[in-house]
Order: sequence, then structure tokens, then C-alpha cells
Amino acid sequence: MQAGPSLVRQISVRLVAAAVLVSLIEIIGVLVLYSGRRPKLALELVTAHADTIYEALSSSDPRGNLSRISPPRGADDWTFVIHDSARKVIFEQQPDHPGSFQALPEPTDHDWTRLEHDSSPVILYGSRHLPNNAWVTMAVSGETLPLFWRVFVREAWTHVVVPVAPVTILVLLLNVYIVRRMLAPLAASAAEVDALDPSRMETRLTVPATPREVRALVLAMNRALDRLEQAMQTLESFTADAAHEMRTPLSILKLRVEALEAGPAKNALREDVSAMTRLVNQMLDLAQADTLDSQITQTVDLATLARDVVERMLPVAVARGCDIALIDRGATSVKGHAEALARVLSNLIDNAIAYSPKDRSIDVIAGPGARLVVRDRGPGFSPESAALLFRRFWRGAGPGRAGAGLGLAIAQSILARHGATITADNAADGGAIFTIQWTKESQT
Amino acid sequence: MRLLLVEDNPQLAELVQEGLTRQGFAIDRCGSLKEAMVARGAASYDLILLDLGLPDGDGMTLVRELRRGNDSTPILILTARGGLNDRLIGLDGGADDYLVKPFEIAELAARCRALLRRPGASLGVVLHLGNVALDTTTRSVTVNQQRIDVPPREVALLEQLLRRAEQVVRRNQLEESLYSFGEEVTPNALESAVSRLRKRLTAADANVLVRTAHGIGYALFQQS
Repeated sequence: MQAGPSLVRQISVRLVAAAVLVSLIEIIGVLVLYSGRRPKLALELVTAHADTIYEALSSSDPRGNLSRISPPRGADDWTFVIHDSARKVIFEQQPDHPGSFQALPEPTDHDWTRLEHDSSPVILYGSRHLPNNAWVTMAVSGETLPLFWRVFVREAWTHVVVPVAPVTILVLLLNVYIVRRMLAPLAASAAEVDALDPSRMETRLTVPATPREVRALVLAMNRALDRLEQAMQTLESFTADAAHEMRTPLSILKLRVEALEAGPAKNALREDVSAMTRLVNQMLDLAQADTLDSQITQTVDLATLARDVVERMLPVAVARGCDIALIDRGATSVKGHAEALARVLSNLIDNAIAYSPKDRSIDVIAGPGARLVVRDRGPGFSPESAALLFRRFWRGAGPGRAGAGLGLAIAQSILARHGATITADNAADGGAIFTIQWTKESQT
Repeated sequence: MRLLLVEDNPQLAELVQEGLTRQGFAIDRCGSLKEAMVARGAASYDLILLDLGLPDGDGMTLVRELRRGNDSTPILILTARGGLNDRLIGLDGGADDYLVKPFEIAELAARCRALLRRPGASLGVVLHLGNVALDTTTRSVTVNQQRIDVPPREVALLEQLLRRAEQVVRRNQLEESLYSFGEEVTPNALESAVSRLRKRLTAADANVLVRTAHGIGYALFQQS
């Protein structure tokens, strides 16, 4: 489930990458633009340093601070002179190499900038009127890129990063939020898909109003579920139909066998027909057990149920030479499907009859509470077969009769849908005990 | 005893006819709803054995049609439909009994007799199982054609058991048949009546047995 980055994360990462790319393109654009306009860069450089010089000049220790001003970054050499309003020199910074520059001119009455060498290395001159009416005149020499880099960075910062970044970040955050919101229905649908249960094939996913893509996916998923349910129904009804269709030929077979002359061959054939009949019945019950959920609606009194089933089964037991005793220990009612529960109980009694010794009684105990017990006095079962008893198509060794080994599996399946469990034990004094116990919640 | 068998599978119909004829029933056969309606109009039957999946429709439509026309002829459904709800649908629809294929002739015959033994139905005059017979009009009981003396209370008991031979009859139902004699019924009156009836039957060499259905009631079975 958690494999790979989430969609929200993927979209966010891509959006951030796109924003970075766009910013880079903008910066490169600015770089290209400015490198074609070096006089403008020169102007910005002079203005920036005039500002620095003014700051030093208006500090508490003008002379000290002025002498500590570092040359513009990337400059090979520089010089400047400050005149007061009366055009008198109040400070002068000598260049490192005398002769690098022409003599600085007296300030005029306006700011100016002049680019002496337009190719590398450049030499630029400029003069600025300071807020305290003083004038600073400077000369700077250096390689184009190092010299203008800082100016360029500042330009890029003020004209690209500052206006664009907040908007970009805001848009990014909004995007993440929006994407998260848009994908919320997808997470909801995923939870619903996870909760799908093959035994409740009628369940469908809730179709979200938006977004259209998720809606389309959910609708497609629901259509797929329709087809799946149809396929399962076809399979179920096929099993049921097959079971039905087999009954008439089976009847013919049974009646033909009955018409045979008595003898060991006839008895063997009779057993075979009985085994086939049980198999057909169990196939049908198995197919129906899977569709039982919606039909568990009746209130079934367990004492009445046990009595009805014992009534039905007693002639079978008598024909086999054994007996059934019904014992009511205060059974309650449960919510269920009466006929399905009757089949479970008659299956258990039928098994008990098959394994019961002659002249011994099978006890059918209803209660106490929501519980049914069938107890025979046969050989019981070995510990290693206990775990296998309820497996489909598992058949125990030993005396008994031919069968498909579906009876207990069907019983378990039907009971599970009723919120009841079935357990098998060996009685201390011999015989098997099958206990059906309803959980507290599933009782009426 | 005239029975109408409505079954579209000719082989099965023939086998059922042969089997039931051997058991002493007279059988008319037909293979569709339409034929069944014609047969029903032409003769009177004591019991209808009806398959549900017929070529021209569902057998249940015949059941409903007969019941709507106030025809109370007992109907026993013989069907391949053995689903969890099918039996209930069949009985609620107005049928009297429901037998799922495949069945044995003996079982079918027993069910037929049980239906015919119901009060008011055709086997109301002489009830029998094994070598025991009870004439419901004269109230006389015979074992091997030999009349035996049975007090009225026990005859009533035997009648209830014979009417539902080879099936369990509940205690309360049996007790009611004792109450009808206007005598006080003590808690173990049923037990002692059954016990006396058992002794009488055994003494007369009857091949039937009153079995206790523990916790439910009693049932009369033929001894094998």
C-alpha cells in the first residue's frame, strides 16, 4: 500500500522543480538583458558605492570608517574623492596604483557616470550628489563579470526573487493543498475498495461528485464489480442448476436400483446413490450458503428448531437402529435463517447417526442460552483430524459412509454467517460432541 | 386410492408409477400442466403428486389454481428444487407436503399414506401399519386380522400415532386426545397409557413399536 511516493508528494516535487526552473530562466533572462546594458550596471555600481560612502561619512567616526571602506567587490583598483558643498575636498582615497586612473574631475552640478573602457577590463567614472550636499566622485577598474556580479545579483534579487518568490511559494502551497483536497475522494474510494467482501457482492463504491477523473475511476470500478457479481451469480446459479438438473436422473437411478433383486450388489449401489445424493445436496447448500447474508432475518427459537429437526431425523435414526434424545436446557432465540440452521443441525445429526453404534442414543441439546449441541456415542475422532474436520472435501478414515466431506464445511460456512461458531470435541466417556455457540452480539 | 402423477420425465414417471402401483395405489400419469388440468377435470383424485419444473410452466401455478377454486385435494410436491427457501415456498403456496428428489418409493408411499390418513382425507376409515389396523368408525383394533380389546383412551392414542405413522407425534397432541375423554389427566397419564398400549401390542404379537421421541413425544414404527 505504501510503495512509492504519494501522488501529492510527486506533484509537489514537480511543482517545486518547475518553479525553480522558471526562476532560473528569469534570472538568466535578467543576466542576458543586463550584460547588454553595461552603462546601466555601471550607474548602479556607482550609486551603490556612493550610498556606502555616505553611510560611512555620516557615521560618528567618518574618517576612520571612510578609510576602512573596501573597494567594490571584483574591482582591481579604485579611488574616490569627497567634496563638500563648497567644492572643497574633505576626503580622498588614493588608488593602489597611481596612474590607473585619470585625475578625478571636480564635481559638476549633476550626477554622472562614464564608462571609459567598454571592453574588459573596464574603467568607469562617476559622481553622485549625497544627501548632505557633499559630492563623491569615484573611479573603478576591473574585469567586467567580477565587477558587475554583485550589482547583477542585487538587481536579480530586487527585480526577480523578491517579487516572484513569495507568489511562487504561495502558489506552491495552494497547489499542494488543492491537490490533497482533489485526491481525498481517491483515498476514500481506496478505503471502500479495501472493505469489499466477496461474500457481500452487492456492495458498491460511493461515487464522488468530483473530480471527474476519480468519479470516472469509481464508476468504472463499480461497473467491474457489476460484472464480477454477475459472474459470481452465474457460477452460483450454475452450481445450483447443476445440482437441480442432477436430481431427476438421480431419482431414476435410485428407483432402478430399488427395483433390483436384493443382494450385496444392490446394497452397494444403494450406498453409491445415497453418497451421490448427499453430494448433490451439499453442492446446492454450499452454493446457497454464500448468498445467505441478506436472508438472516428470522427470529429462530433454538428449542423449536432442535425439536423440528429431531422430529425429521428420528425416522432415519430408527431405520439405522439408533435413537435421538432431545434435551432442552433453556435455549434462547437467535436471528437467523431457520431452514439453513435446520440443515446444519440435520447434517450434524446425520453424521452422528452414521457413526453411532446401534441401540445408542444421540443427544441433541438445546441451550443453555444460544447454543446447540449434538453428541453421539461413536468412536469420536483422532486429535490430528480435529483441525481438518471442517475443511472442504476432507473425509475421515474409519467407519462411516461414502460422502464428499462437505457437510461440516457447509455447517461452518452457514454458522459463520450467523455469527456462530462450531467446535468439535471428544467426550470424556467416548463419542464426538459438536457444539454450536452464538456470540453475544449476534443473538436477538 | 387414485393418484394423479404430474411429471414430465417419462422414465421417472414410469418408475414412480410402477413402484406406487406395487404399493397398492392406482396412478394416472400426465406430463404437463395442461394435461394435468384436463385430467383433473375428467376424474376425481385422492392425491396429486406434482413435479414443479414442467415444460409448460411452474407446478406451483396448478397448486394456486386448485386452492383458489376451493379444491382441497392433497398435493404432494415432488421436485428437484431443494434450495433453502424452496420447501417453504412450496408449502406456503398451498401444497400439503414437499419431497425433494431423489426419493425412495417406500418414503414416497409413506408420505402419500400420511396425507391420505389425515382426518377427512381418503384413508380415514381404516388406518394401518404393519399388521396393526384401526377402524376409525367402529373404533376396533386388529392385529393380524385378530381383534384385540383396547380401551377407548388407548384407541385414541393409537389413532393419533397411526395417522402420523413413522413420524413423531408431539406430547401435547397426544395428551389432547386423552383429555377428550373428560377424565382428569395426571402428569404421567400419557406415559402410563403408552406403556399399557405397548404391552397390549406386544402381547398380540404386533410388528409395530411405540418409540419414545425423548423430549418431543412418541412415534409408531414398523419393526424391521
